[in-house]
Amino acid sequence: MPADDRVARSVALEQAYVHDVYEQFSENPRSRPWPRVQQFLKDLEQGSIICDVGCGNGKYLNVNTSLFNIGGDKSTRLSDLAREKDNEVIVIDNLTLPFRDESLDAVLSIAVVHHLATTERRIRALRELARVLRIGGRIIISVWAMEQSHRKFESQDVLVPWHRPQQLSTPSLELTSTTTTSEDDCHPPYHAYTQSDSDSNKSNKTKSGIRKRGKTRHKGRSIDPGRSSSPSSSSLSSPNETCYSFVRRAIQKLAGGRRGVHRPWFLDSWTACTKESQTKRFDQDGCTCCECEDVQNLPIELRRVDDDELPQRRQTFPSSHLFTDLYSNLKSRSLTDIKTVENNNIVRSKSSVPSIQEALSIEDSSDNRDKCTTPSTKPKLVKQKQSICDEDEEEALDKPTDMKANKGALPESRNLLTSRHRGSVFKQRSLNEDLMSVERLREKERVKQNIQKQASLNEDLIYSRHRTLDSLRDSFFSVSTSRRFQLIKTGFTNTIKNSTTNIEKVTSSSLRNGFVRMLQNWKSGELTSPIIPEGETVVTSPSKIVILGNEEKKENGVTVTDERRHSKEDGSDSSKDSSLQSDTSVDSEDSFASVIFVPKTDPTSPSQLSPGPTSPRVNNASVPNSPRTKQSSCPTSPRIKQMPLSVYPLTKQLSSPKPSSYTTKSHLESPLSPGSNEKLERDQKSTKSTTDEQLNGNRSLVQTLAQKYSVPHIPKFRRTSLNSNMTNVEESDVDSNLSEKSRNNRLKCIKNILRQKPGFGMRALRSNYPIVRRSSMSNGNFDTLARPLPKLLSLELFNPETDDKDSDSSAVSSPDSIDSVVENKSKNSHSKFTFPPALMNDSKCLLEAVADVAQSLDEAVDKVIKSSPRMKRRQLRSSEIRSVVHRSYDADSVPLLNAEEDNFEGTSWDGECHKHLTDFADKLSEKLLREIDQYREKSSENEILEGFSDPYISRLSEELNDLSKLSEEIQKQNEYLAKLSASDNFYSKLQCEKRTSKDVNTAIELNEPSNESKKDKVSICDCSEISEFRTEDSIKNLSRIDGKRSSSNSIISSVATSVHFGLSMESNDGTSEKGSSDSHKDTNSISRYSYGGSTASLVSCPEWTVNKVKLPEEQCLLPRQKTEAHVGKNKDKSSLNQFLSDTSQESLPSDNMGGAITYHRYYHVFREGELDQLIEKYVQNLHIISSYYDHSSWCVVAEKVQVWTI
Amino acid sequence: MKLITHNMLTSKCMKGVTVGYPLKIQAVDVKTTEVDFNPEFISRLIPKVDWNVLCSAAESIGYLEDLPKEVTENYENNVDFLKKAHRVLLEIDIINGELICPETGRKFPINNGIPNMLLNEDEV
Repeated sequence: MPADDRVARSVALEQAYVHDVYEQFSENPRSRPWPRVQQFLKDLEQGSIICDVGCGNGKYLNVNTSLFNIGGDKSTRLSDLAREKDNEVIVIDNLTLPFRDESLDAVLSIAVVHHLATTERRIRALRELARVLRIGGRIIISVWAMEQSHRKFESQDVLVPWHRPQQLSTPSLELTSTTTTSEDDCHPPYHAYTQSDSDSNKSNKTKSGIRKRGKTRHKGRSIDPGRSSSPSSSSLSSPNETCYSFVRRAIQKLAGGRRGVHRPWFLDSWTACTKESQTKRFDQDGCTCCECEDVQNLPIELRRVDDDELPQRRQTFPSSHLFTDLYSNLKSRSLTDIKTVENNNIVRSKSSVPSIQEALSIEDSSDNRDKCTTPSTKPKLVKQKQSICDEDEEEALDKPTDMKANKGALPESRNLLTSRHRGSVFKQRSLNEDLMSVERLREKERVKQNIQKQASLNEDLIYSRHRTLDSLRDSFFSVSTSRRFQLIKTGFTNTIKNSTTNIEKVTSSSLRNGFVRMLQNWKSGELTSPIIPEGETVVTSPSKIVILGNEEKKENGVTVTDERRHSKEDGSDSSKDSSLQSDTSVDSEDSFASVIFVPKTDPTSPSQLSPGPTSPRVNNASVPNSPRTKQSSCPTSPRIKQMPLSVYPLTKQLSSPKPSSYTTKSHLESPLSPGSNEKLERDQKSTKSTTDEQLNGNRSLVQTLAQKYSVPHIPKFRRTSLNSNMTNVEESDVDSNLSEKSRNNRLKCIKNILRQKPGFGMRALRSNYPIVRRSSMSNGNFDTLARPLPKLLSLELFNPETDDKDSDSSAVSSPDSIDSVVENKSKNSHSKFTFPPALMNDSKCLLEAVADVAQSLDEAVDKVIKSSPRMKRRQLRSSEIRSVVHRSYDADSVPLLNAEEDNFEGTSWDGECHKHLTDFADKLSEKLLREIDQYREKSSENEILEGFSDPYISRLSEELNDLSKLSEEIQKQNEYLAKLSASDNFYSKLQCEKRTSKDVNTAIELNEPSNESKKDKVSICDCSEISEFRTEDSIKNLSRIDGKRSSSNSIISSVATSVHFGLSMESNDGTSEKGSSDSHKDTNSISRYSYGGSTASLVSCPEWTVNKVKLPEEQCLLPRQKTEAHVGKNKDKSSLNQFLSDTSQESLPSDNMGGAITYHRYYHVFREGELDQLIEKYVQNLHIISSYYDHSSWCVVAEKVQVWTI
Repeated sequence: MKLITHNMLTSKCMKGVTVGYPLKIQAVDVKTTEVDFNPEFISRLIPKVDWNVLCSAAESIGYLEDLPKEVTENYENNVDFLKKAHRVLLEIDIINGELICPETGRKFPINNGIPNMLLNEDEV
């Protein structure tokens, strides 16, 4: 990466995870002056002029009143706090101190330098500190130590959660924490060297007078668990504990035992956090403030913070690079550190080594498990993919393997493990790196989930808090999230710059491989028991879905194709999914809200990821996540939640809608939540249906359908089916018909799902499963899907799309785009807040609309079914679709599901929510099972219908063409709208329109978004395809597709393709939400995908334009974030306490009513002797007088000396 | 911001600025707060201060009063001088205003007594 990018990235990281966080700091009574610093001050002669660079709230400015103390901090908030104490304060930047040379008698740099993201910047800071120091003047520098008694860091670049203590409670907490920290500090520091390899290298370091005792590998290992444990701690309290949480707890316990720390490791972590906070003072004013450390706080490791590593990975792993760019800080840092600092040993060459090791480990694991790993252009990628697949399939196995690999000194693997437990956004983001290792992906997913939970918690708290909380959110979102997003964007842009194609290829290849494997495995398993596998392997479930779609396709046309082909298709699908997943992972980082992480701001997720990641995933996403995550490791989790833990997803969903209902403010969230619920249901249903279909199709239906379809369309089906469709298309220039058929199949599945969804109430009324499937219905299905999809999507997708369009239309430059994104986010948040009352209604309306859509879809399906003649069906569909759209907008026609959801929301809200969710999940599962059975029965009929539909396909295609035209018009209109109004405004408008769903315009808009989403989907699909195929063929296909889209003449084909894409995307995603849910899923996935991409694009301004699709994705990100927030809120509601600690910065915006908001601060934890080496090598005019370990920090007291240079 | 602080500040970190000292003061709101007088403390501060800059700064904001233009000899024992120096150095507080880079004219705002010396990235 260009140096500029690095700088920009590091700056963005610091802004999002240091400065923005410290701006949130308040008076922190906890922070006590460290005795040794006090002594340092007291030893200064009277009348000395000193500056505390990074004074925070100025706790060291009054230690010695016989000095002239100048406090400097970059945080205006903290500066104000310090100023209120009658201190002399200046707002300064450590890198550009506004002091004359040699004007100060002493300088304090307490907990500042560790907030700088690159070695180069740390050196600059040290040199600047030395510059202003007079000859003979003394400086005391403290930086957070990597080796801490209570915390262990796998990498040096970490995002450490910081919980904003409640104002009332904070003092006590702070005190306790401080006391604990002080005690800990006093205690002989544990040798926390977790990184055995790097540690050994690092051991060179030196001088730190106080060394931590042995750095045993065991400890290092324990560290990992510790990390995991930290997340677990958060989960401990949460009632919604998942398996992950349990694992985390167990790990934590184990870690605690290993650590031998008397205190619960939570406390340790807390203390460490507190220590951190103390150290933080320097860089950011607020550091000293209260740092309430929650057990839940688990540091998120950033890799590749330093530049060196980043570029490498980027080349090899574009997607990973994106993530890694932002979050790779840790590893990258090590590399960069080595290069820049020369402290290679100290710095940790690990970053590079670990990645390799990880890759190796992954490979090993993958090889062992999935020997099938397809050779990717880049071995690493392939490995990663494989590993991912493996991980998905065999999470448990992978974990242990990962652990081993991690032991080998893989911070990433550690991160993965830890991230899983901790669910920290950062880790998730690092998960992007996961591409390299599946485990990471899984961890990211987990982290995302955790993050979502956190975010949800925060949001929930906010909701409860009401507007004040909202305002907090706004501030958070606007600042931290935007920053996170920017960070993420930068990372993405970097990766993109390196090679978007490469990224795609890598991801696709890796994903493909993994997916293919998964699919293969799954196929074998499907025959036996499709449902079980879903429940068993969350990841597999999405893959299953995909597989199902593939199988279906295969069934339809696959009779010709062999399993291998299936595998290919699956692989393609998987690749798409994987791409989606990768996106999601990125998003999660963002969540970036998050992550970064994130933060975040954030958005991360970074949030990213967000961190944030989980929430969006949950909402949309439980569906999209499931698919994506499923493909990778993450998907498994959602599915697992849904299927086995159906309660979990359901709970999330339910909770999300509930919060929405409660808090009208979060319209987006609320609608999303319902959508997510629906999606989840749909997904489940779809999965079930697909499984059923697959079973049926595989056995009987497949043959029949395949015969019907396959004869002419077999290749088409293959192509159309899933991502592979694209590739297939390339090969055989797939006809739209084929794709349509496959799509039809998918649509059928979707319809089935939809039926199932509404089915709670609607199913009994309508048992249209057979109809759903009918390929002939494809036209109608497409229409319905497209339209309903837009509707559903409209919630999430709309904004992003519009945003994207806006950004594109406005041709906003990358920086601007970032700003716009941020603004959008903020706007979104604002809109949410502004429309709280309306939001309630809106959310309800949205839910209703969703339900309506589902109903309408079902109805349409029924009608279609009823109208055995497909011509009629088509007509009906077209008309019905439109009507459906209108209906969907009509809030009056609330589907039973909605009502149910509403009821649940209203009633269950707090404690009951869980029960309701669980019940709901159980019911859903039962219904799904029933539906599946029905489906199977009807499937034969459907197949027949589908066979008939073939002749009608042409007509359908015509209709599709018309629809496509309409969609184009809509898109144009949308574009105009977007141009006219800022993306934010547009978003709000869209929401308003949605609210006024009854209006035809809204319907059009919805269609537009759907169209857009389709386009996006197509593009995404293309990307995914490209990535999957890597080969030129994919590009050709893409170009073809684009051409088709562009050319109205080939509108039909394009529409079909687009629809197929959407469908394929959905199917690929393994999104159970077919039909309307599919669209949502697609949009979600797209948005996620775009999110990551957009972030990347945002980062790289030039790239920005290139990745138009990404822009919309970015825009989508906002809604995703919102959705995430909703999810998080829901989750939070369910288990506020538990997740609070987990919340990433992205979630930060949500202040906890009762608890503290969790922020993540970036730290570069120093290894023993690292600071000394930096000073000795790069700041020659500082002579180290003493070096010691105190308060979990490495402290150096140095004196400026005259350096004679000849 | 006290004048002793101003005495330390420079804009030399800005791109294209070689000295950036002394910064011009454009005071909007100045207040004086009484600070305990510590002769020894002041006498130790005086040698660290660029007296000419201090005088010009005090003059620019209208608080030069009767401060000697030159540091008197044996100021350590000149309580009157030390008190005057004490007042100028520690008791005059610029609450609102601007610091202006003498070379580029870049303005650093002073709000609530806190000068914001942050630079934009393109200024470094």
